[in-house]
Formats: sequence, structure tokens, C-alpha cells
Amino acid sequence: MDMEVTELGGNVTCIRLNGRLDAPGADRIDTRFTVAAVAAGRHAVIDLSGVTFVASMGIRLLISSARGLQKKGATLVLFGAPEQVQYVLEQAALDQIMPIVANEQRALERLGV
Amino acid sequence: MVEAASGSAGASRLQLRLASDCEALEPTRQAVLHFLAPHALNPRTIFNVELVLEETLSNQIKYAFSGAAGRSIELTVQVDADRVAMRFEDDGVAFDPLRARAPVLPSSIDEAVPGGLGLMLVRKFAQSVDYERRDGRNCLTIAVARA
Repeated sequence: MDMEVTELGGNVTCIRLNGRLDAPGADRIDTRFTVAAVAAGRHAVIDLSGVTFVASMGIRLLISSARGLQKKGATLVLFGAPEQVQYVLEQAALDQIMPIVANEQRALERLGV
Repeated sequence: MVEAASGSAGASRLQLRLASDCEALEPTRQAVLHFLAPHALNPRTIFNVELVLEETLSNQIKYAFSGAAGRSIELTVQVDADRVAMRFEDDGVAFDPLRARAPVLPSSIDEAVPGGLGLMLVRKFAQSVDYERRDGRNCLTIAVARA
């Protein structure tokens, strides 16, 4: 699992993920992801279009980061998940606790940016 | 780390013995994928098999042996006309996942709890889950329907 961090207009952190968000993948990026997503306390959008697989450890990483941002008054939005990844996220009810939208534009709209 | 007891690409059954160690997850996954490749399974089936494999083995590695080193897990993968069956065996602490309480799905970020997600995903993506404790061994059989 690899990640790329950029800053979008409106002071939003964008993290693009590529690869498997399984236990080894989540472990590989855990600290960097959490720091990038949460530390600054800015809204963050997570590009899942390059994610080929997701399991519970990956989902936990997303939940913990979303919770960390919420405590700082900011929001985490997921976007672009491939069909099977989207389905797993929905089965885990992740769509009930954080926004999961189709693309980057929708993610920014969701943040009001 | 991972030993093949039997089964090659094209055979209907694969048997592996893997160390109860997180480092064994990826080689095991690769061995199973190599075994499944000639069966031309639907990508959705492969995805579901990988999910069950990841969640079940992760839990076994974490909890079956209470951190003791040098223990192993036996995995058998069987491909049938309508399903892929996986059998996970270990001689660790007795644990029947069918008795574990299913987590309540959260409706807010504050309600999201870390435990139970892996088992819940296995139940949702498997066609069947069967457990028995026999001769001091946990024997868990999980079938994934072929899409």
C-alpha cells in the first residue's frame, strides 16, 4: 500500500491510496496516514480509486482517523472506491458513519469547498 | 513460513502449514491465489476468498496461541463446482466464532468500536461457517460461493 499526500484548494488534505488496504498494507501506512489525515486538524479527502482490496484493519484505520478529525472539528470524506471495495465498506456500515462519495469533486462539495 | 503439504495449480485441493506469524499472511495469500488461478474463478469470488482468508488467519494468529512463538496453522483449500471451501485448523485456545456476539453496526462515528469487525465480515461474505473442537483442535470450515 502506497500513499501520496497533496493539498487541495480550500485547505483540504488529499490522500491518494494505491494498493491493498489489508492488515500488512494498513500497518505499512498507519503512522504516516494518521499524521497526514489528522494532525493538522484540516478537512481531509481520501482517494480510494487505487485501492484494490480492503479488510477490517484498513477499515479500522479509516475509522480511527475520522474519529480523530471529528474531535478537531474537521471531516474525513472517502471517494472513488472501486465496486467491490465500496461493497465491503457498506457491509461494514462505514457509509453510515462517514461520507463516501463517487469522486473528488463530490468530496469537496461535501465539505463545502 | 509456509509449507505446502499437497496441491498444485490445477488440483482441486491445497494443503498448507503456516507459521502463526503475521509475516505468513502474504505468502499464504500468494500460494492460495496460485492454486486458484487455473480454476478461472470470477474476480468477485477471488475477492471474497481473500477477505475470508485475511480475516480468519489474522484472528488465528492474534488470538489462538496467546502470543506463543513457534506454533502453526493448517489451511486446506478445496475448489468445488459451486464453492471454494477453506478449513482452518490449530491446536490453540478453544474459540468458536459462531458463539461470538455479532457487533452492532454503528450509526455514528462515536458508536464505532474496534472489535468484531473481522468476524462480521466473514459472516457476511461466506456462504457457510462451521466450527468444531476435536481432539484439542479448533476446526473452522468456511465456504465462499462461486459467483
